[in-house]
Amino acid sequence: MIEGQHTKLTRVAHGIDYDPVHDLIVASEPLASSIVTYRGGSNGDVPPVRVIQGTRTKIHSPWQVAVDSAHNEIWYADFGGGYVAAFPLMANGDVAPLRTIRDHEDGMRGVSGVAVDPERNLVFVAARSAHAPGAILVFDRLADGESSPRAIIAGPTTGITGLWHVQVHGGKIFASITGNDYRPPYDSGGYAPVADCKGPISEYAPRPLGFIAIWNENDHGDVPPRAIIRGPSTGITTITGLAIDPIHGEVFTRGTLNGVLAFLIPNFF
Amino acid sequence: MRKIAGRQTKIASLLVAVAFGGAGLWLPGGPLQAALLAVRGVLAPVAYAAPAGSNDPHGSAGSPPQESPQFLKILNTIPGGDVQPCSVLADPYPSFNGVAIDPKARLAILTDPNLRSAMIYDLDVAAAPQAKGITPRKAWVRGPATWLSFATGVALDPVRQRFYVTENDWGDDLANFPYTANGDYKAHVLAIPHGTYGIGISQRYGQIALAIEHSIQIAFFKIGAQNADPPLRSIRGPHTGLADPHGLFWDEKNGEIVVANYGNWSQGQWDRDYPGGGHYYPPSITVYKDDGKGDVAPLRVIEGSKTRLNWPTGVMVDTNHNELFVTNQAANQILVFARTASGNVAPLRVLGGPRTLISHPMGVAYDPVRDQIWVANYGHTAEVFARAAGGDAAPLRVIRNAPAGTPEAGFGGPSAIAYDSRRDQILATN
Repeated sequence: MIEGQHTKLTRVAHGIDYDPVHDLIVASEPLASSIVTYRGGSNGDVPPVRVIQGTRTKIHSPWQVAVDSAHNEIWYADFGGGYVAAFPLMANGDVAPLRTIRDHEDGMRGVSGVAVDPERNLVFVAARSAHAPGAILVFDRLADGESSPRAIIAGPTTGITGLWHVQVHGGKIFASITGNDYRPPYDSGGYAPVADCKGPISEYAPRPLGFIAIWNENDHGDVPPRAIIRGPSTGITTITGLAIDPIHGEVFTRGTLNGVLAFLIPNFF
Repeated sequence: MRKIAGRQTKIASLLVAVAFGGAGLWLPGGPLQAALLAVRGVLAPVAYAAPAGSNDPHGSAGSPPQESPQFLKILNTIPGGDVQPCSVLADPYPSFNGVAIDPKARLAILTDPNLRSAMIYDLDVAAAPQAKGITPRKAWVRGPATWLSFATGVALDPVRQRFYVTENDWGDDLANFPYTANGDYKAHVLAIPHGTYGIGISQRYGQIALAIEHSIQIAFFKIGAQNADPPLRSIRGPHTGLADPHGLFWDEKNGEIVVANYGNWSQGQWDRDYPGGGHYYPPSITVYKDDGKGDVAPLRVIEGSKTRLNWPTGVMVDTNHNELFVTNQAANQILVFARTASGNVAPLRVLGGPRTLISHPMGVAYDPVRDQIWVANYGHTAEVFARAAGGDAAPLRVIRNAPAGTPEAGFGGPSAIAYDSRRDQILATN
């Protein structure tokens, strides 16, 4: 367990990734606008080996992180900033990102997830867009600035009602579909309730089921998932983080319970 | 909770075996399945409707998305579907978090973010340390009508005989109940900013103070506020010294508010136009005049290497003896300072060590009748000590929410997961 003041961890780290090539753990820390890196196997109150933080980084509210071991880059999704950005894997301190991708046409909001396919040189982004409660946008890995996505998976047939994280492997996209287009009762600064707020929303309010959805990396448009894990027996009504173990054909996620669910689905990989 | 846990899958199997009596497929039925169904009232896709009215469980802070007819039409043609997980790594027992005491009513109330509940105990409950079973509760408040989800801070209003519970993550509400609440009791609720942790109540002002991590502030509401009633005032700004505030105590006797800060700071995480970056400040205890408003400086700050602060989470002031108690979460200690301590000062005494059974302490409260403190750990025990206990002292009583020896998964709402392929471990953030 990595914990303690020296670790520079904060509450609600919405992103973590493991780099098997370099044996590194990378996590995002929204309450400090930072990205921290540890040696694999770290334990206790250990400081990170690197911390990316500061004005030049442009990090606002980092969510999912994804390590590209082939190109030695760290990607992260900036929920509040509305973009994804890449840093060198060994970046440390107040450094500028290598590239920052924003959607040129429709804009991205609530950018929660990012994944990288280093072989096909593609970046996959989970976000809300101007025309959908959630979309998976596909960009060239080397895109920079205002960019047009190569593909967008969005629309009523996709079943996307909100997105949390994405993973890619073997030409497939794995996504956690939240069933919850989270809109807090307060403005982003926590100053006052939003204009039409009549009260909070209960976590128990009926809403669409969350689920795991799988598409092909070359899917585009309003297309249904190629496979899903969805239903009352899955233990998923709410869903958040997503990890995959291609070696054993497992997918891990957090469902409704405060814990981790594992699904053995080798035929989905 | 800020832990990243690397867990061997064999531990996952152990928890599955404990909860379900078998490995492999997660079988329907049993206590955990019942708990799952109790958490979500409706599992079939339904169209959402948002009626107005107080205590409306749907609220109106935006409507959840509707499932599209097009998707539902083709749903059964998509491979996969209602697949059971092959393993479930979760604690079927509660995890204590906050604790508050009403010495006159002889009640102790503890929150539980794991099973989304609040537990009410008789302050004089028999709980010998050698007893191995679950300590009897007066009441257990849980269920959809309670609104309780990631229940963290708790404060009691002894005049109105009600208790208040903050939601730190999954919910954005302050739920309150009468002392007599039990089971799936319908809460009165107030919309609050995201990431609220600590809470204090003042009868003199008729106000509730909330420490809010994400927007780095102390927000004040009128006692009795509900639904979308706005805050009355706030303490926030660069001069306040607030940085990821957690526990809060309203010291009415001395007219002060005490806050524990982890030290993490970021305006950019809620302000997309903020050009500066985040910061890691030292952990601290900051003390304010309780009539403060706006960007006010603290009266005192406890900060520095001598303080030994390490993720200070809960705070409590014993105004009888003028001592300040801090749960030093990551060091498994209770630090006790002079109430008026300031600067880089060492604690008067430190309570911690293997005999204390203190492990990830989150909340601390004082019973002046017995001159005892209650320490709530993020896990299956709370300990009761003599107020003046220090060092590696054994507790006088141990409150258990699970049989002794039950493993603790320690999850605090993992929002992200990774797989370490070298070690065959799951990494989960808290």
